[in-house]
Formats: sequence, structure tokens, C-alpha cells
Amino acid sequence: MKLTRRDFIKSATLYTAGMLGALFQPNLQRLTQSLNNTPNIIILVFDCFSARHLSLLGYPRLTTPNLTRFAERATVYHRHYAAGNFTSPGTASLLTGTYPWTHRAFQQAGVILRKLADHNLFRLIDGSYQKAAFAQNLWADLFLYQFDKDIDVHIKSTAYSLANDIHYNGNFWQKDPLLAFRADEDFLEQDYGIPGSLYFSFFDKLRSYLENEFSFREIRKEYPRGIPNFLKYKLYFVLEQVFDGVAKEIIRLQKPFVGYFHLWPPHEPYFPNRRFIGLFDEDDWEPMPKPTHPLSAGLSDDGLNEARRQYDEYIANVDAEFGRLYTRLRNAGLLDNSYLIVTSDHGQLFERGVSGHVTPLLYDPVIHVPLIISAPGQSERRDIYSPTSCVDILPTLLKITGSSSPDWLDGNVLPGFGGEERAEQSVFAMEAKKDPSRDPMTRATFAMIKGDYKLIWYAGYPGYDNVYELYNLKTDSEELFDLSQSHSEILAAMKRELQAKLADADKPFLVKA
Amino acid sequence: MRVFRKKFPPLREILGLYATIVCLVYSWTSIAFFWKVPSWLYFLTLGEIAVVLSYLLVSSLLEATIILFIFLLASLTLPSRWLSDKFLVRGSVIIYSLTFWVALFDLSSLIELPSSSTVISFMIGMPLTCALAIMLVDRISLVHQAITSLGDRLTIFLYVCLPLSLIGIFVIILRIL
Repeated sequence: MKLTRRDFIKSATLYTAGMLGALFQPNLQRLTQSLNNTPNIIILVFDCFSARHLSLLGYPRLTTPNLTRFAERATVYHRHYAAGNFTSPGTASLLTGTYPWTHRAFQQAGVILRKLADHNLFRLIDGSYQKAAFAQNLWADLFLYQFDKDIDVHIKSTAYSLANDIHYNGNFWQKDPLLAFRADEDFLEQDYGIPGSLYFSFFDKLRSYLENEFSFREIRKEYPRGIPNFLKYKLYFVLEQVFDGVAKEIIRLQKPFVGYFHLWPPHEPYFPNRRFIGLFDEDDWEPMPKPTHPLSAGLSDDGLNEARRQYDEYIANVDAEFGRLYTRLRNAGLLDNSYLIVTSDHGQLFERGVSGHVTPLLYDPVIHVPLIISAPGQSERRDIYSPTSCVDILPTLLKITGSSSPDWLDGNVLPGFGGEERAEQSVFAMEAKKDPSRDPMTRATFAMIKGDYKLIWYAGYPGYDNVYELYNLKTDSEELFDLSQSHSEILAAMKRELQAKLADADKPFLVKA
Repeated sequence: MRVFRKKFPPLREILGLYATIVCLVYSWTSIAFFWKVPSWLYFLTLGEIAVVLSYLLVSSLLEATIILFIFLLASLTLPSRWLSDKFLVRGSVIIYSLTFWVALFDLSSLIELPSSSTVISFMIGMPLTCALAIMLVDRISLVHQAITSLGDRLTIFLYVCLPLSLIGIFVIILRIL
């Protein structure tokens, strides 16, 4: 029989393939087995969740019994800080492991510098993980679109909503969602300034009004204060539906996975289910009165206390929903092999004349956020008291997942997960929404926490420029006694460290003479 | 077909009304755009702002054209003496009144949803203003002439806005395809 060249090549290929298959079969089996044992990572970010309002961390109102239950088998960080006082800087720092002065997303609805778009959690975590992300907050979703090519499952911000009038994430704009957001949600139909479209905006508002008045009538019985919504954009939801949707998505993700879920509650408007309205009406507790700050809106204490009570009710509602989610994940057996991380992008302030977080102030309630991490098989609670920052989360995840850690990260591995508990570690937060991304920072507030002390520096505010405040958080957790005059040595040392950091951060943006 | 032709307004009047709508819609968008640009300059490049402007121009074109079509549809369906006989004048008066009320509605419901009182005020105030304005125009010939003349002169906006919007369409096609 004559062997043709084609027959020879065919036989040789089949023989080689067979040999390779035999050689790699045990390895493939081992690989599949090891992937099945690789722990999943679930990151739950609750927007605008101040650690100062958690009964888990000593708040007098019983706001978080379910988080407390979760914390019984988790590591609780008592002094964890967001890097900014609103969504954009706080979320960008969490996702990039860098401070806002590095990623420069410090304006409202800002985005990180284009050249740094590869510096993100989804890119850095080992490729064997499926990467899923959902941000109900549109400003956080902008980052997910910046990182889109590194995310396997990008769930739309509107996914679990009752109704919405959001367009940037629609199929038509799938190639240009970031600029579509600017044109549509941030301009043509914006609700927080002059809308760019006269008539489209009108029809849009009229439709929302009719929907709210008539379609949601039944749901409004459950939510008498109003249907929970995204304050500035037309996105309505009920908490149960969002939490159920997230649980379902987490359970069906391909293992191992990294899932980032950024939920809008307990951000204002504070519209809890009726079961939580009036929850704290009868308590005698009143927050400590504090002096009105010169840079505040000057709101009265009565108004602030009422807003605080409503915020606490909403937190209790969110906590109950978290409890359901936690139980569901545990019953599904998912937590046996998953890290569950609960945190926030920023806090909320109800003092010194300010209600909310759109403020130049950086007192603890607006930057001190929860961080609770349960590891697979963890059976006891562990408490960490040294200061930590949201920029520490990414280095920790890289360590947990065995991914390599780049040298540009600003954070360190968290204590409890391989990092050291260092009381003297400096952590920072900043607010500079009036500064452009590509220029040095000139009008901003900076906070630095080191050991027991906290330095706050107000720079560039008309009539309030170059003002420093220094507090001892151990003896004065309410930040009432400014020590900047009496503790000049500590102040000088902290100033030096902070200003050196800022000078370094601004270097690439200085105009060369 | 004859009825359709009879009720269809003259092209000159259609262009005059379209120019009035274009002028109002594009002016509003332009003012709001220049209001917004300083905050965008904080984090968008000039190229990105130009793309956003393209989106806005196309949106305005769509908005103005839809409104014109609504007027044309009304002209074809309503009795001739209501609208099609005086298409430019009555159309302009209605669009001026409507724009006033829509602007008021938009600006009075920032952040929050419009309240029931805002919606009711609009529902009552807008038709009343339109009716009063139409009566005024019908009785005072000077106002009638002024509106006709203004409509004619505003056609200059069509020569500026429409080509710009066409460039916008081209940019969008490049971006989304």
C-alpha cells in the first residue's frame, strides 16, 4: 500500500494529538479540581454607608443586627476609611488600589485617567477567575465601562430596577457608553441642572410622574415615603428585587469568580419599606450637638436629627435585606468556599450644619466606612483596630487569589489576610470636586489618619484657606477638640508627610516652565 | 388626496415654523451646553466634548423634527381654519406658549419628580396661554405680521443648524458602528 504525503501528515497529527492528550489528561483533571477549590470573591459595596451608624461598631441604635450576625464569623475592621467623601473617588480607589490623587476621579461623575484604565481589580486578578460586576450607582458604573474589556459579565445598572429611563447602557450605545452618558443622562435629561433638551426632558418628567402616580400605586403601599430611586437619574427599584437579583446572579456565576456588586442603598433618598418607618421614633437617644462649620450649609440640628433618623431606618432595612442575602448564599453552600467582603464607597454626615456628603468636610462619619470580610471556613470573629484604607482591598485580593501585585498600588495587604497590623500606618482621604483632573490640586480638603491622630487640611477655599485641624480619635472620637495649636510637633510631622505625598502626586501635572 | 393637499400647509409656512422650532430648541440646548462645558473640562478632553456636542446636535434635530411632524399631523387632522390656514402664525404662537410652559415645568422640577400641582398648573396654564395668544394674534394685525416676518427671518437658523447636525450624524455613525 502506498502512503501518500497527505496520509502521512494526517496520521502524524492524530498520533501527536493522542500522545499529548494522554500526557495532559491527569494535569487537566488536577487543574479542574484545583479551580473548583479556588475560593470565590464576593464584594458587596453599599453606597453611602457610614460605619458610624452601625450598631455592630457601637452605634446606640440597633441598625445592623444581621451584619452583627455575619461578623460573628468574619474579620471586622474598626477603623476603615474610604479615600473620598462621595462615589467617584471612593469607588475608583477601591477598584484601582490607588488614592484619588493618583487616579484623578475626584469630580462628580468623574472617571479615572484614560492612561490608567488598565490599573483595575478585574485586570489584575488571575485570569482563571470569572469576573462579574454590577453597579446600581451610575457614577460607579462609569468605571465598570472603563474596565469593560476586563469584565466577563457586566450586569447593567438598570438590571434589577422597577422602571428606568436610562439610555447610555442600551444596545444602541454599546460602543460609546461613556460619552452617551455625558450626552444623555448627564445633560439632555439631567434633573439636577438645566436639562439640555427642552422637550425630551419634559416628556420624560411627565412620564415619570404618571408612572409614579399610577403604575406604582401598589408598591407605594409598601414604600409610603416613596419608591426607592437613584436621586439624580430616573431609576426606580424595590430593595427585595435588587437583593434577590444579586443573590441569583452570584449563585449562578461560573466558579471560581470575582463578583463586584455595588448597591445604591442606603444612599438618599431614604425610602425604606413601611416595616422600618418609625423604628427609632421612641428612642431617647440624641446625637451629640456639634458646632456649625464655616464651610457647611448651616442646617439646623433638628433637621439633621430627623434626616439621621430616616437614614438609620433605611440602614435597618438594608441590613434586613443583607440578612436574607447572607442566609441565601450560606444555604446555597457558596460561603464555604468564598470570601465575602462588605464595605462602602463613602459615609454620610449629619452634623455641623451638613446633611449628606456633598461637602468639603471630611469628618469621620463621611469617610469612616464598614469593612467586614469573612474567609472560607472562618468560625470566629476577629477585630482589627489599626487604621486601614479602601486602597488596601485590592492588594489583599491579589494576595488571596495568588495574583501578582504591581508596584504602583498605594495600598497594603490588610491585617488578618497576610498584612501586618500597624497602628502607625498612614491612611488618606480627600475631596477636590472643584479641581480639574489634569492640573495640580488647588482647592481641596485632605484628611490623614495616623495612629490615634487625624489631620484635616482645608486648602484653597475662599476665606478658609490653609486651615488645619488635628484630633485625637482615641480620646475624642467625635472630633470636637482641635489640637492643632497645642500639639504643634505632631501637626508639623503629619503636615510634612501629607504635603510630601501631595507634591509627589501633583508632579506629573505641573506645567513645565 | 385632494383633502390632504388642501390641508397641507404651504412649504414656505412649514419652513418658517420649522425655523422657529429649530431656533428655540437649539438655543436652549446651546445655552445649557455652554453652562455645562466648564464642569466637563475638568475631566473630558476637547475631542470628547466635541463628540458629546455632536450627540446634542443630533438630539436637537430629532426633537425639532418630531415637534414639526406633530404640528403637521395636527394640521392634517384638525379643521383647516384651526391650524392649516394660518400654519406659521398659529403654529408659532402655540410653540412660543408651549416652550414657556415646558421650560417652567422643567425648571420647577429639578432633582425631585414634578409635583401634582406643577402638572395641574401646566395642564391648565398651557392651553389657556395658547388660546389667549391665538386670540391676540387674530385681533392685532401688527402682531400677526411680526410673527410672520420673524418666522421668515429665522430660516437663517436652518442653514446653520441643519448642516451642523448632519456632521453630528456622521460623527455618531463613526462612533457607534
